[in-house]
Amino acid sequence: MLDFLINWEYFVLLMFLGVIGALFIGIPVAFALMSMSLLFGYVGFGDAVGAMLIRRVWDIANNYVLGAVPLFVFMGALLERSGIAAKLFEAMMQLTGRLRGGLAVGTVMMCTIFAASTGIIGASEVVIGLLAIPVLLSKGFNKSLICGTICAGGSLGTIIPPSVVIVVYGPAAGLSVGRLLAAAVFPGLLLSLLYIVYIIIRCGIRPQDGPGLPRDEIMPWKRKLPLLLGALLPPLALIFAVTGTILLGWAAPTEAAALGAFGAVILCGIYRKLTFKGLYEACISTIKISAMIMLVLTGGTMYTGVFLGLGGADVSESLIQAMNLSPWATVALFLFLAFLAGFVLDWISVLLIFVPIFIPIVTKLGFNPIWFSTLFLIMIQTSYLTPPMAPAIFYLKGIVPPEIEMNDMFRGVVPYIVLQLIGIGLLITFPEIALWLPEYLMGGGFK
Amino acid sequence: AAEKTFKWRMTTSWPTGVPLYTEMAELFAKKVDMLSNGRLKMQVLPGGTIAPALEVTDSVAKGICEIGHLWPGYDIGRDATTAILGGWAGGMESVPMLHWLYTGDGVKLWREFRMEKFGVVGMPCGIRPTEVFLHSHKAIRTLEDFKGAKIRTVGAWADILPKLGASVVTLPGNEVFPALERKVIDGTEWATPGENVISGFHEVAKYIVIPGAHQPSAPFEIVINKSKWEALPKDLQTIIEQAAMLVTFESWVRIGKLDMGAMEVFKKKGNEIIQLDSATQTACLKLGKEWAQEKAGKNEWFKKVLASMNAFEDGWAAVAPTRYFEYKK
Amino acid sequence: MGLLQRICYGIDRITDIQGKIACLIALPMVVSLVYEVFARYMFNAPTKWSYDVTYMIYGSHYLLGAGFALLYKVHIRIDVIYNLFPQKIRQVIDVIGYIFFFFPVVIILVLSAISMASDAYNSGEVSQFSPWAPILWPFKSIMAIAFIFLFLQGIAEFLRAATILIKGESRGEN
Ligand code: NA
Ligand code: NA
Repeated sequence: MLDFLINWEYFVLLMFLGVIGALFIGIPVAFALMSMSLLFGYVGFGDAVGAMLIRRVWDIANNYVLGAVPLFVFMGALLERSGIAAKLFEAMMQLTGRLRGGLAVGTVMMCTIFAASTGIIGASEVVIGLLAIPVLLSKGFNKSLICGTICAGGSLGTIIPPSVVIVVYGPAAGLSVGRLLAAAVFPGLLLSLLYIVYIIIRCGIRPQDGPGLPRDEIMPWKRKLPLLLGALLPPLALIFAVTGTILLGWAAPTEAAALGAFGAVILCGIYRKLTFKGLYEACISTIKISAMIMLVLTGGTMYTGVFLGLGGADVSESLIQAMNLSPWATVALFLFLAFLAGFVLDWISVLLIFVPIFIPIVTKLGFNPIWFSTLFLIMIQTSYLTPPMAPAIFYLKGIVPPEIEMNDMFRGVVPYIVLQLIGIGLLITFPEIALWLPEYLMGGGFK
Repeated sequence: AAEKTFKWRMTTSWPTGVPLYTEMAELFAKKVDMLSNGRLKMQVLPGGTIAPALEVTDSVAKGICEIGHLWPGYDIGRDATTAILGGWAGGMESVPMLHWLYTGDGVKLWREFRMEKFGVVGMPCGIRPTEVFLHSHKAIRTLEDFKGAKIRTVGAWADILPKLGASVVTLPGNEVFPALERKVIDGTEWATPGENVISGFHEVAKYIVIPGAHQPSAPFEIVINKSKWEALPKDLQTIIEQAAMLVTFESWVRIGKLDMGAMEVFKKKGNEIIQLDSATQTACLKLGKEWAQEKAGKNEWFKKVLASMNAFEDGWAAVAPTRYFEYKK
Repeated sequence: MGLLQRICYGIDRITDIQGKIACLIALPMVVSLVYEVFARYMFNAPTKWSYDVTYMIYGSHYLLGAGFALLYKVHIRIDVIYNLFPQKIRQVIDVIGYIFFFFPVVIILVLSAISMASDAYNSGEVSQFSPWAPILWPFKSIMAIAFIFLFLQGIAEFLRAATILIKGESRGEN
């Protein structure tokens, strides 16, 4: 037993305790991650630790794909400041009418659309959050329901293609990226559907959590139609345009984000809301929010690097190999480990540590590796929601008004974490949800 | 007393699981472990975890890790000589390339260049045979077909390709697959057939254009931190040198075997394989040579390495026909 | 105003101005990318420079926002437990936070970024991402400058927190 404690390879596990401690006494997330990386990195890398950490910053700073983050944030900030977002949701509420929780359902749908256009979670979560939160609050939606919905909806971007996670996952698992992307489509939509069902049921039982429109506020169609045409269609068209330019292959995601930002400026012009002051203020919130998101990401990258550099992957592997389980118990254990690791590690660590160990074993046990991979990818998506290392919550914290507290966020994600597990259960029961589309698309030849 | 053992970290440019990771970097670590009886162990790490994937040499020189595995051409931003060490449109196919490396001046020049310009111990470790020229939505057969094609590539080939009338699109590695799938680009080069099957390009683009006139062969390398190298006993240094050479040859045949499997996959999938006509192949070669001549003007090392390669290739030209059978064409 | 307060005020002003200038560079980034898409589709002529320009602006933008975000207290913290502590403890955490969880790593990052930028300058390193191949030292220097701004703002925040702790004031909080 003492061996366990003095074997310095296990020393790496102390990194978790260090960062959790720092987070809970209220050290800003980015600096908690960075300073723990420095401390533990010094043990592993000695004098080279500074060179190592600054190159982690460099890797984030020259990442073209992440350039979409400030652009999407700018788009969201501009639409919010100009009041276009508020009008959009007013109109959406007319559309969902008396359906309780209807506006939250609409939010999940917007998240799903956005998820289909970008694989970067911070970006889509922040845009939708900026647009939706003020309106949902003013309509009296429950705060924790708002938080959970935005966090979970925002995290859909990692599983619904295109997805950066899957593109990294494919080679690590030795599986075709194309097949994995196709396999993730229906599980992603299934999760989105589960969120919607949950919202409708919860608000049906507890109307105070998510009201529908009172009967007397519902407009007759004669008045509703112009409102829908004027307030709903243009911004929705913009969001579709962003998604569409990516899906049609006109633009890469970073470029589409810029088109979206540009389109938002034009839209403000059309609505006569375009002022220098408004533009400037949108720029100010953009730099604050981007710096906040990207610094957390940078800290996470440093932390991952130090953890893996200290041999974190080897430690985990030896722990797993010590057990000897039946096939289904193995799958259950693997998913459970990924789930647990997601609480304290960021997605890239979870992926790099476990995928090379899990996939060969799962394949040898006779399971379909693509099917297992979709389960694993849902766990990675879940890791965005599970505190303390919960990027979805961090990003949300950066954009919510002060009346929403951290407690609302923690409470809010819990039901959605349960929904993730239900989604996994459904996929285990009905593997075709994942396996049908890749077979349909890629089974045949070119015509 | 027990002999001193060493534990090194090896950073690479690769994600886990791809052949460059398993058939070169990991294979090298295993060989060294075996040959040294466990006295020198290496922990292989994917690109971007402890050091930037494209800045392996710099990270090794700074001491972030003891050793790194990379494609030399990734250092083109610091010295263009690395681009021809890594093989380019004007360079040798893998058989003469291997001969130049191990019987010509290759390894010697390589080591001197890396030490003088980067302060690291460098040597070839792994080689790729000819790549796939393009996975493409457009049927590119002749020089005419390049006009207006949007092609993703990097490095020397990105400099050369516009001269054929194509336009070059720059994309990060992770974005290449989705961009090809959605036809943001008409085509992309990537790696050899066997490696490309894993990335799945053949599943989204019908045409596969061969041979890789932009990359007739591609040597890879290990770079080692100078002081860590000097701290090794002589026999471990020799083991590293021998293991690196062994991996060069073994990776070459292993990737060749993967290519065999890949051609089967393409056939089953119904991809159309297009052989570039000989005029196009020659044009690529000529542009590659011109590109190198131009770069050599400004760089002494470039000049020296290019001259050595060119002289060797000229000598090899006489050997090539002795191994050529018309009936096996 | 005491000397310390004047120093803090001066640093706040510097950070505020640099942040407000830096936030505007998001606009040319939009323009450059929109131009790239049009150039590729209308004229079938993708630019050589859009890729490098994009990441250089994006990287500079968020890094130069780091100190600015500190000034406006938008760096996220998990304050569930922090808020439960009595005020005195919170003040101690703030001061200790800067000493142990901010200055060491930020100073290391400043020094390492300067060394990285000077390496790039001395070697004449160029980008290897695109055929445009621009020199990299200006961008790497911005990285160093951004961390210096972050460090400076940290000093102001630390001085304020320490003053409050020592003098027992609570007015400074907001
Ligand atoms: Na997505
Ligand atoms: Na988590």
